[in-house]
Amino acid sequence: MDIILSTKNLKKYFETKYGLVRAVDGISFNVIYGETFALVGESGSGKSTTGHMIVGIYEPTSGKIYFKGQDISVPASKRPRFLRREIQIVFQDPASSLNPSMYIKDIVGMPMRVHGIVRDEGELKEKVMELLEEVDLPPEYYMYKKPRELGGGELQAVAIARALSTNPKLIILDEPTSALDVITQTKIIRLLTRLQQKQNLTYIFITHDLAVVRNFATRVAVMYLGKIVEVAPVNELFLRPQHPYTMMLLSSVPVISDEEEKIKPRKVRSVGEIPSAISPPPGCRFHTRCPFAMDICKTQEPELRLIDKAKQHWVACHLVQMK
Amino acid sequence: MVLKTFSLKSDGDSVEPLLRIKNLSVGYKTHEGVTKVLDNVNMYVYRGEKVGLIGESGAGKTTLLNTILRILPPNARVFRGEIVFNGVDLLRAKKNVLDDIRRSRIGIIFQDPMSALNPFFKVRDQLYDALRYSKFLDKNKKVDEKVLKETSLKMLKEVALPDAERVLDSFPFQLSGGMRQRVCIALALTRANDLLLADEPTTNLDVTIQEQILNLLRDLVNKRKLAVILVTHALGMLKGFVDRIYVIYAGQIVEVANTNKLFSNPQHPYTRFLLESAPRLTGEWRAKELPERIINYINPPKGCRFSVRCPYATDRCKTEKPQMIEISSGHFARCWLLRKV
Repeated sequence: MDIILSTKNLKKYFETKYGLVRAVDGISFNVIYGETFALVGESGSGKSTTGHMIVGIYEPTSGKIYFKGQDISVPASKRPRFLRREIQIVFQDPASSLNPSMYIKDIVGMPMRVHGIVRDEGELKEKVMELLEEVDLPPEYYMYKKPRELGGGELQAVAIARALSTNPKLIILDEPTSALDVITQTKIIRLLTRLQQKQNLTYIFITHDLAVVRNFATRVAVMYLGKIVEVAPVNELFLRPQHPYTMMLLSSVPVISDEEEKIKPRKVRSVGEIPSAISPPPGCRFHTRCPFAMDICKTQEPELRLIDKAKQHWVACHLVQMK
Repeated sequence: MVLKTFSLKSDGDSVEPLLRIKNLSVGYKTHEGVTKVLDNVNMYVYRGEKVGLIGESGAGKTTLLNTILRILPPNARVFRGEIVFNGVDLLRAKKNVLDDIRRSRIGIIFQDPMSALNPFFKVRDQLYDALRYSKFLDKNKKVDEKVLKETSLKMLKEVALPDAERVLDSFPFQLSGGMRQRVCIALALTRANDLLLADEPTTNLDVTIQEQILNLLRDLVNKRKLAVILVTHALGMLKGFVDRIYVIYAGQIVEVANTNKLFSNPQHPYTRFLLESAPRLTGEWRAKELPERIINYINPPKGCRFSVRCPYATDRCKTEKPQMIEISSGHFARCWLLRKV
């Protein structure tokens, strides 16, 4: 299993007037070639910040990011050009991530201009048509439209075409379907799956929608308040969740059928809210909301440990590690 | 309670519903022309009944709620119809009657609690105002600061806000999304003595908080025996909360059924697509793909509005509007295909 991206004790702190916000506080994970690695957690858990550091929007406060073995722990502007091409991102809200005054053709073509991938306008047009074709938008109809003339799903398809334009290896999907309704969401996920198989792409899928994760991801990392609390392959995580926080997330998902109700883990009632990342609780950060918290949880931080070698299931919880 | 309302309904509408919407058509005046959003909407809600309204963004769900409370923007046009609430036609009611209803009978919870609260005033001021003008407090007693504070604290505790004193003294931006939505629920409860309108109350929140808010709403509504219209685009939310569901597509109600029937035996192709599109926790996703179409409300399709996306559409669907037909008692759908069978 070849690793395309790995992070080592990655941290990102933001200085604010209220104090230091520890958005991401020491996370390490590996992403394997061709997989869909999901980062899930509530808002404020640091999942988007992690994604943004990988594309190079933020510089890590400390820790390392390796892409194909090469250290890329610097913002995008300091990375070599060819590396910038290889990592792309699709944002949550396509209406605000696409320039409203540009034609779709120019939006999709912009990265190719910037990176000098095309020689002239003719080639650019050809490439754009190819890309639009690829994401199921008939080019003759869409090329000269502006974002406001399109629906949410079509816009997200445009954003995907733009991300594909530099021929990337890794795409960060930052809640790509959260702003869409279910029918459109299905279309986008289908499209992403097809593209992945065809172009051998690796995805880092950031989301809080666990039902989509179940159907789309291969491995999942659950984040809470800047830390990773559990990592496992998708089936393992959904059928044998170990961390109380993962159980809380899973048992909160509103479902529509009895079969789904059956596979939910034992009910962990959701109480309280995610604490401030300025002064995270000592010990295990989840202990303030955890129904099983013990004394040790309040003082000693649990490490992320391998509990099942064959399944590569990692958990950071005293309760699980004691068993 | 639920069973009772249903049985009452079946013996010939002997009991007048709390809210009855009849042939309502609403649109907006825009630069491109006049849109026709809601098309002949019929809906009723009994006392204490919980009703869900589900549809995609842009289907007219919010327009419907806003029409009930008459809080539409100035460019909106009500073409025809009536909304009878407790015997009063809200669309033709005088301002003082309407104000009275808004103050003490119908409450609303909006989707985005940040924009529903005034950012310049502390929660205290907003709650006090609501209490002063609603009929929540006993009119005969003198309303002073002490009474207001006591009642406010009680309300905040009722919506399970810990540290109510601090919340009272906070500006909206100092609260988290979940806390803000709880404040909005408290505000709505000061007014909702009969009917609570909830416009996607949990869409902007995390699943864990979503669950908390839904549980809270369920408890409060049951305790106060309120009727509810819960608007959402997430199917899972409705199951286990509402008694009956209306499915709306492009301003037309396409299917009505009680909750179990809608989930177990959906009839309209659109409802089926909605159900199939929902990703399942079990990992099976039976979704079919539908072409995406922005609904043109200025020149809406002549026949069934879903016909432009429906894979089963025939020529008749495109030209002739189907009527609601009854599939079984209380289960209605609007589709030509169902008529043939």
